[in-house]
Amino acid sequence: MARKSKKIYKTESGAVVHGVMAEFATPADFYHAAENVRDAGYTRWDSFSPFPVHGIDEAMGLPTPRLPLVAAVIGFTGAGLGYWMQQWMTAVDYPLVVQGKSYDAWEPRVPITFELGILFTAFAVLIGMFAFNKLPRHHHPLMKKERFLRVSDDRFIICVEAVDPRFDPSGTRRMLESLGGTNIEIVEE
Amino acid sequence: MSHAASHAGHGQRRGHADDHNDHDHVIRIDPASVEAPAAWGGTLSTLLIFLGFAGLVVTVFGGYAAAGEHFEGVIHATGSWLVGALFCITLSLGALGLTMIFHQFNAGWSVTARRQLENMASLFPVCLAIFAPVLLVELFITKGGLYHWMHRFLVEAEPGAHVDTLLVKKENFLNIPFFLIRAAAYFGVWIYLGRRMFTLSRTQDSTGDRGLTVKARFTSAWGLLAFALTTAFAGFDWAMSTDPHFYSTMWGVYFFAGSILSATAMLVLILSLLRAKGKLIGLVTDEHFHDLGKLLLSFTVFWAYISFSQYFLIWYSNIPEETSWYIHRRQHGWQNLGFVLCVGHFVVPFLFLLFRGTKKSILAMIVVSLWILTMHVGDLFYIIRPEVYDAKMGLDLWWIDLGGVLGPILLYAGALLRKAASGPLIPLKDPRLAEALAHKNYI
Repeated sequence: MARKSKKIYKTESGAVVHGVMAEFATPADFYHAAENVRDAGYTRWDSFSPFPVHGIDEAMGLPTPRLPLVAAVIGFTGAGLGYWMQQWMTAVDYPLVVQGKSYDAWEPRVPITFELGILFTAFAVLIGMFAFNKLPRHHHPLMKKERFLRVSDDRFIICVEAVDPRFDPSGTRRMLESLGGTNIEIVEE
Repeated sequence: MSHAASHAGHGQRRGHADDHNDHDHVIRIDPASVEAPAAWGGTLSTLLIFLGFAGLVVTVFGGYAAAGEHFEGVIHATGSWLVGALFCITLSLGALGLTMIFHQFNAGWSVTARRQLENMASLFPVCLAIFAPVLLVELFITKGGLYHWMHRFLVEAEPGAHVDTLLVKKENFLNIPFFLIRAAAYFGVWIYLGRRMFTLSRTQDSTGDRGLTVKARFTSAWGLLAFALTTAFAGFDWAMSTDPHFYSTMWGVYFFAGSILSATAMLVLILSLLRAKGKLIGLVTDEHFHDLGKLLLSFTVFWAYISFSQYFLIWYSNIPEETSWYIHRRQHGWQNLGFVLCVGHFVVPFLFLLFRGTKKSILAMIVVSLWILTMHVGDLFYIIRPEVYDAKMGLDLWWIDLGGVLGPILLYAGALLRKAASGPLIPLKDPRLAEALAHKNYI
């Protein structure tokens, strides 16, 4: 499939357009607007709210997250490494008799194997979450918008990005308007 | 998908948006959807009870056919029957505990699943009927075949004989009158609590009185304390004391972990079968199964955690009367059953239940709940059966075990199906029913 050349939109002052943002006053409007943006076929857009809105990931049509798989793989790797580390240390590198138990008894390995499995999973989840969210980052175009700051107080915002194949400055604006969005603004890069 | 239940008001309290905001909780439920399949109260349960009695006949016949000089066959048959009886008791116990926990936490999501637990918890009289023969045989026929401490000669010195010092020390607790008083107390508490949970809920079906929910919550508060103590001590009395030298301070939790896991598995099994029969559509949804699957997963891990911890501490401290219990189970072929339990009771269901897809699939849940119940039988078998008698510790006379273990289970299953068919499949007028119907996981 031939890749569509990405169209770059610019404002009158010549700034590159990041996207179009719209405000919603209630979680209900916000939730239904997200469903409609999803159904309109947009893929590169995001939603912002002062608190977690239950079910918003489904309303946005977000794909199944890959984080659980990463957590499982790294967690089991950590558990395996934990077992191997103890086995090597107490049965191979420096065999030590403890309470007359055999060097390679599996029983005493279990707690540390379990702990390292948990530790690796915790790190995988934390670091993976940052990586998938492309965090930390110093700046985001939306931060320049005075009205966007209310998203940490009492406003719900949807921003459709210009890189979306279906993006069209006037069409997207009209759609957001029809969904009940207010204060629709162009966001510059 | 057609929904058997429709409701005008949502019990929404969270940020999730919804258009419904009227306040009347008029819930219309299709009566056919909350009625057990016709066979459950009729042919199917009759068949199960018939097969259960066949198991009883096999056990009794086997016990006397293989009797032997010192009642070895009878002891064997009693031990097998005890495994099955403990299986029924732990199911009812786990169900009673879960019911009271749900009430105590004012749980809304589980309301539509709770009736099946109440049915199980109301079956303690059946459990008593199944368990009583074990006690009668122990007291009047084998006189201490399974519970060795019942032998008087172990604690009362005769000329030229040695007493068992450990049992002399334990005699204040392990003696027949106190043992019977305790057994009566356990069953008294359980029958009362199980009946009360069941009756309050059934009464509410017709009256819709919200005060009954408050009463159930009040009873659960002290009931859980009584439940915890009686469960732990019943575990000590009926399972742990088959090796009266052995003691484990974790035994009560171990017994409880098996109970609550198997009761959850039984609940999931019944709900899955009902869903497969086209019942409870829209009442017990994939979301409920998702959460019940999470409970199964966590109780599986809990059981593994507790039983490993018990083994681990005994292995480390190396105290003779404790380790002897495990040493016996690491020989004579019992180590194979131990390995099966490590893998089958923990690893397999743990990995299987990690996935969201399996928790929401009815077929997968039927498979995994049957698997867990089978493993719970294996766990009880591992506790009781190696203690049966010293001469034959292996699996000879396996058919006595089959009859003895399956007999009580089939009787219990038959009684449970009858109970389920005797009323609606959900608490029809529970004040939190709307919350249960609107339940979603949001992840």
